[in-house]
Amino acid sequence: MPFAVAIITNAGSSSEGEYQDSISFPNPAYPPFSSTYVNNGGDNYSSYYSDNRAFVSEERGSNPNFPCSLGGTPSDNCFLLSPSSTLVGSTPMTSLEIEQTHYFNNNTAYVGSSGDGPFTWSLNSWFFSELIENEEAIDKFRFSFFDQAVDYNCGASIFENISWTGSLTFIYDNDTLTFSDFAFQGSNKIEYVYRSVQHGFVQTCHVGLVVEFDLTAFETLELDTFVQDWNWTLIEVELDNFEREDFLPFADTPLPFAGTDEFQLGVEHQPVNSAEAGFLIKTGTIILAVLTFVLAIASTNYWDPFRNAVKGALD
Amino acid sequence: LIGTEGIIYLATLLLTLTVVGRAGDAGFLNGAFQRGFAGVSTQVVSANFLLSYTNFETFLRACLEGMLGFSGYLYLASLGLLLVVWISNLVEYRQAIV
Repeated sequence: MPFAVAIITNAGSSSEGEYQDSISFPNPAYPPFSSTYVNNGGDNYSSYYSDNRAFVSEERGSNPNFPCSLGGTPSDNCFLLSPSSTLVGSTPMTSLEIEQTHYFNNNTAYVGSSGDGPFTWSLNSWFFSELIENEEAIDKFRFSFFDQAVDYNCGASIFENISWTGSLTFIYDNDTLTFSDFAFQGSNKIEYVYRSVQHGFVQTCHVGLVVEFDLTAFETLELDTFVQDWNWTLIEVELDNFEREDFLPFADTPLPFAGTDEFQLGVEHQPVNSAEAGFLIKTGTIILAVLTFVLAIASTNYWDPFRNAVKGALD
Repeated sequence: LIGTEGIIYLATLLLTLTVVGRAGDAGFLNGAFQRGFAGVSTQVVSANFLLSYTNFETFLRACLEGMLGFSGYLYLASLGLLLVVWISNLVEYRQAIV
């Protein structure tokens, strides 16, 4: 029975295709929702920040009386994610440049640690806009976070093997659908080759994370039923429980989104044909239900198909 | 989650009792310790296999939560009938699968 289940689910999740860009050029004039920071890393603030600045903590400004940064922007603006530019070509996928966890401060009060989570972003349709067709079902989402500010030698000791957890929440029509308990292992290094006008093909390594949410076939179907219009959907991405695999404290391990500058976020998806996947899974489940029913009857003394078959052959 | 795990533990328990019972009938596992050890081992291995190495638990949860619609509920009904039959067999014949 478990093997039959595996065959059914694999038949409905046959996406072997390539990732497609989810981000297109944002149109800031018509965002259906605002993109916001929900959580930015946990206990990673110096006392100066706690006393003199506001930052995002558990979906609200830590202190409404203080500005986010020197210069005095209202603390509520700490929430907003405003992509400053769309990058095409210099990153492996189309990406948006957005603010890191802390605001720049001339008094250098940023504590300098990453925090081990949670980091949560609520992303509006700028990040997946019309590039996801409404009739498509999604098999995988891949989020690539990278900090292009510094190029590192790919063997640099700044890169560590780490593990973390993640969840995806979809918000549509005032309802939410969450897929949680994703566990990840990897490195805080992102390595790729890009084409530079001046230097040709360039191999580069940055502090980065690649996070692939591989939905089960059932989750794909559930998501397809839940989201009716991607333009009116928010995706909340949460990464949490960051740990180093050498079990040293995580605080000094760089993460691409921790800091006072900006980082790049690429979002990609792998679609599947929802009608085909749904048909295969549901038909397979009906067949399995019938076979299980037959097995139940055959487990009684009233009908023994094996004995009947043998008896029929002997007769 | 508890419901789906409970179904898996129940099914593997019934299978375990059948395997140990059949082995006893065939002249193996004569001692109580041997039967206990074989039963616990079979139960732990089969339940862990289903929970850790297959997506059977995810499939059951999808059925329970309605993700597979009518076909999911139909499968749960069939599986429930199978477990009832096995429990009934266990009571009547001292083994789940007769």
